[in-house]
Amino acid sequence: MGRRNAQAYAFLSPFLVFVTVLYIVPAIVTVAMAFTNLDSSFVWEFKGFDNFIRMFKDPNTLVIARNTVLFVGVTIVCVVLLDLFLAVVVTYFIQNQRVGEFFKAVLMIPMITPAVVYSVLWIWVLDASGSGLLNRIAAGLFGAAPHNWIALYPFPVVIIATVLTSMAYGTIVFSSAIKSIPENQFKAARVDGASEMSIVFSIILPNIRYHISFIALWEALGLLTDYVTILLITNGGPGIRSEVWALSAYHKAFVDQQYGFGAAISVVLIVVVMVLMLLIARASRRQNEGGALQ
Amino acid sequence: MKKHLCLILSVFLAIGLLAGCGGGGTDQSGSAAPGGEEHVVLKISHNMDFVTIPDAVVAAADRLMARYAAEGRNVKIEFEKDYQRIDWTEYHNNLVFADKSGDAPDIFSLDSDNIFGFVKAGMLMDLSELKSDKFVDGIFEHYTVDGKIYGMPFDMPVRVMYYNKAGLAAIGWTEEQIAALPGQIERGEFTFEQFMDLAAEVQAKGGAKWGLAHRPGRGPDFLDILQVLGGSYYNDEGTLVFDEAGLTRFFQFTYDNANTTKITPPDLNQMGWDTINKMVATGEAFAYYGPLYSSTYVANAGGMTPAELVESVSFALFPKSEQNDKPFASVAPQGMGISSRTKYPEICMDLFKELADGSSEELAKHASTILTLSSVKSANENPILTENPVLKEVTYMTDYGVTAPSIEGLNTYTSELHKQIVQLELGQITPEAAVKDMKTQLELNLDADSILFQ
Repeated sequence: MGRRNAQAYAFLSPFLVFVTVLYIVPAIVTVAMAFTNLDSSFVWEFKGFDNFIRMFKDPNTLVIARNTVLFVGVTIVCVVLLDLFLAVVVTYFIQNQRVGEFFKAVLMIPMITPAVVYSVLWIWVLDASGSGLLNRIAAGLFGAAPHNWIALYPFPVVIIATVLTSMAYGTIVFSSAIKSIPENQFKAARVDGASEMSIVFSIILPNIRYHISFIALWEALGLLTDYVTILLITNGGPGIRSEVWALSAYHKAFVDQQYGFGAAISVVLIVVVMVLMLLIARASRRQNEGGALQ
Repeated sequence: MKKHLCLILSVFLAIGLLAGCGGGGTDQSGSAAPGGEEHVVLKISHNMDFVTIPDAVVAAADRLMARYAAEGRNVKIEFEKDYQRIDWTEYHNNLVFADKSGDAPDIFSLDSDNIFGFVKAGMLMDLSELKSDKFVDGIFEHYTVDGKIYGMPFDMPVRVMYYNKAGLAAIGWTEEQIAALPGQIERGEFTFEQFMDLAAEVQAKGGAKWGLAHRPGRGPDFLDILQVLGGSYYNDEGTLVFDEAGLTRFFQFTYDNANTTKITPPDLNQMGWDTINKMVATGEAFAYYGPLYSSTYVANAGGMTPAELVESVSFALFPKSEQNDKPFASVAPQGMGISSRTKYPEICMDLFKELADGSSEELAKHASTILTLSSVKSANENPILTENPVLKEVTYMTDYGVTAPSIEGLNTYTSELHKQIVQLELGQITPEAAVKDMKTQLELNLDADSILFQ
């Protein structure tokens, strides 16, 4: 047994080294950096809790925190509801498996499209000038004057763009979960005269509830740390109207070159993410226990 | 046996991976070859389009070698070039990291907005001995920190007002009147307020779709208008200043242009560079403010050569105004520094001196290529520069050039300034609220001793 363990550790060691060098060490360095005023000179000068005090004194912090909660919350609700709707339609209502698979493949397109390409597409569609696609359509149909969509509605724009890129993963997970529900449950419901909607709400949703909580937490983690779409479409603006926490860390570190302050913002984010990871772990444990009972 | 083999292989794999992570430094040779020849390889690094800057250094090496030979020294200078086109922040960071790992280039282009980072990191050699009357007065201010000069200015790019001649013709100006405008501005006979009225008139009478345009992102151009309106952003000691009254005027001006008089498109900051350059080139925007060297990009966007561009676009100083008593052109020279860790400080310094002393041809070529005036007086008199169709119109501006000093914290200042400009033009914030927000952010983000609030 001991020899087998030694062998396993020996095989794992290169990867443990990689994980340590590429993930754990940078995380520790980031935490240490958060207590410095590291700037473009990259000279380390420890400043205690100055960065954290500054962060909580800044009136923008509250706005950015509210933006983040709103962005993550609204996006998750939209993503999970759309995921559920699409998964039920392509797995339960569309009986032809080939057709269902085709739709799932179509949903994957925004997810596998590079964020830059996808964002440029959005910028072109919503361009403020008369050459923007939406403005052209509005002008063609209603003779409307060009509208500066991104500047006027930055938050809805980034939420819609993010929702469309996030849909595929949850849909596929929910679809697989629906397929794993024993067929006899559906048969029994139909024999009892249950409507299709009752089947969805009384059989499908209760059976995949742990998957739903997993996807919601998984998406929350991704949305908290991912800012690429927002960066490319609105860059957090106008002002800080669409600035979220992770993007704010990026701006402070890589635009203003206040690496210490940017690291402090990231550390707060790391704490939030760790709490969410604990919740995910708890949800998975409950899922396993639920599975064991069944 | 198999298990032992697997174990050994795994250990070797781990060691191999670790070894792979270690960097192999490049060889920087500087050796005395047989025959007493001193062979020097200098690493030279540059960022962005204007490669005529490092090329001038490379060209100066031939003359330096000849001078050394005349003095009885047999020195062969070669260059290892590293020219990039990346974001300035990334370039700056690459240099700092290279310096920390002992692999910094000997000579490198400076991101002039951020020279403090290099100085604080101790990366730059003191070039104070370069200062002489061969250079345009005040040009070293931009690279001076705590009384020491850390960069050699290679040019004198002026930021000016652009205006479209066809726009003026459309409101009935004669060719003579149009040609006389830069002179009137120079003599203070035509003020900024009159210029703005003119922009509004050209727009109102259909001479242009927009009266005034500006760059789409953050940058120093806006600071010029702040100064025209009597505001300041630094004091005589080169310390950053938050001038509340000046900023309020500037923000009111910005807000009014986009929302009240509507001479500026409110969505200018959402447009790309190419769109704006095209607006200037085609006359869709009557006036524009920015660096003169942008005219190469403007001409390109309009499908013209710079010589063709000056048929329709002319340049003028920033006029005097009710709050600012004299016209001016802002100067932000581009420059290079020498690594404090170079093995050849004397040779690098001699190269820079050679450029200032006898290489006016290279600096004039650089100036003529990118459309800028030169930091060296003799280069400004070189026919390459004086006969350039664009530059010959603006050589008088050397007398009106105002070089901003290196200012700590300016990066944060311009970043916050631009954030407010975007919202003001969109009508999403009032000038008073913009001033208040900017003040709060600067108080939080800058050290108390690096900014004065007045």
